[in-house]
Amino acid sequence: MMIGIVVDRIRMDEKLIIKAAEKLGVDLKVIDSSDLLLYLNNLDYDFSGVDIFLQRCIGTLRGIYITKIMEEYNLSVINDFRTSINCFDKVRCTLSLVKNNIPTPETIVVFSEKAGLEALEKLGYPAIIKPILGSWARLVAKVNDKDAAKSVLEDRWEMGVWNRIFYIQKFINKPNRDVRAMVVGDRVAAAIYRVNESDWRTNTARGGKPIKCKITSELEDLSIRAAEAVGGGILGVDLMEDDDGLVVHEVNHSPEFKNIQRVTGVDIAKEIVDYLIKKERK
Amino acid sequence: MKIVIKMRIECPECGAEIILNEKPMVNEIFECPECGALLVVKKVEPDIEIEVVEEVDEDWGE
Repeated sequence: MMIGIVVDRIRMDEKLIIKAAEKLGVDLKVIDSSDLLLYLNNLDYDFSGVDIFLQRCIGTLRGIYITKIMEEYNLSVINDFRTSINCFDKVRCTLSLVKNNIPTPETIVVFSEKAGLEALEKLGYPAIIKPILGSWARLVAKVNDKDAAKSVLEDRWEMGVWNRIFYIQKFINKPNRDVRAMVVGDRVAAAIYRVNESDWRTNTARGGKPIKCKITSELEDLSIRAAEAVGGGILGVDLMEDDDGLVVHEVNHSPEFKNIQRVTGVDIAKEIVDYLIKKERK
Repeated sequence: MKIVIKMRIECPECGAEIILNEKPMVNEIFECPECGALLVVKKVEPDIEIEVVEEVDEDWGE
């Protein structure tokens, strides 16, 4: 069989997948998104020989469109469009979690500064204001009081239409860490804490340090259910420790895993290739 | 016996010598260990060419 890995940049994560395929004796073709001409009226791109595609573009929008078009060509793409769009958009992600009874922080979506301040009063300070799209905790703000909230809402308003949809979330007073669970298919392959002593945001892109995390039955159950809620596949599920247990706050559809692989010793890249082989044979 | 050929390139930002343990791939990104600039491999044949990634797009991520 042959796997096609769709990329725009090649991070350490993609290199690990490429090497894992090589080690397993699986043919792999690197597909550079900048070479693609995706005809919308008929398929006129030579994908011959590729049995299944792994979408790994770092540019989220680019990846989403490529996946959508490839699916219309009846090609098999992991993660599929449904899963990708459910993770890409924080509103869809939260709705997917809520509809499947997965604990997630209370969230209100508003479209004006006035409604934003009202939502913040209802949730209580501090609270979190996030853009509906975005990654690596970009433009994610913790507001401690009304003055700070007004400033953030005004700033975001000036940043264009996408930032005029405010995703306002209750602040979870978690320890200085959160949990990233790497779900591959129907199992949690590995999990880490992301510890940050200097920033409440624990993303590794913000300096969060990865430490191995034990996969408890609660973590396993919630992570798998969260992954299934958005459509399933290869996913990074982010969880926080609240007073009553874990809550899921995000699911990522093109997860970076090099740090998880490094600190847990689990060969995530191999698990991903194994999963693709299994999916292709179905 | 496996022979490891190390390659040397120069960071276009700070001029530091970067030693690569294996041949890089086109579009591969990595940080300069000296100045932290994000670098991208533009060409690998006949010579390795790298550029500084000037801007991280707003939709880059997971």
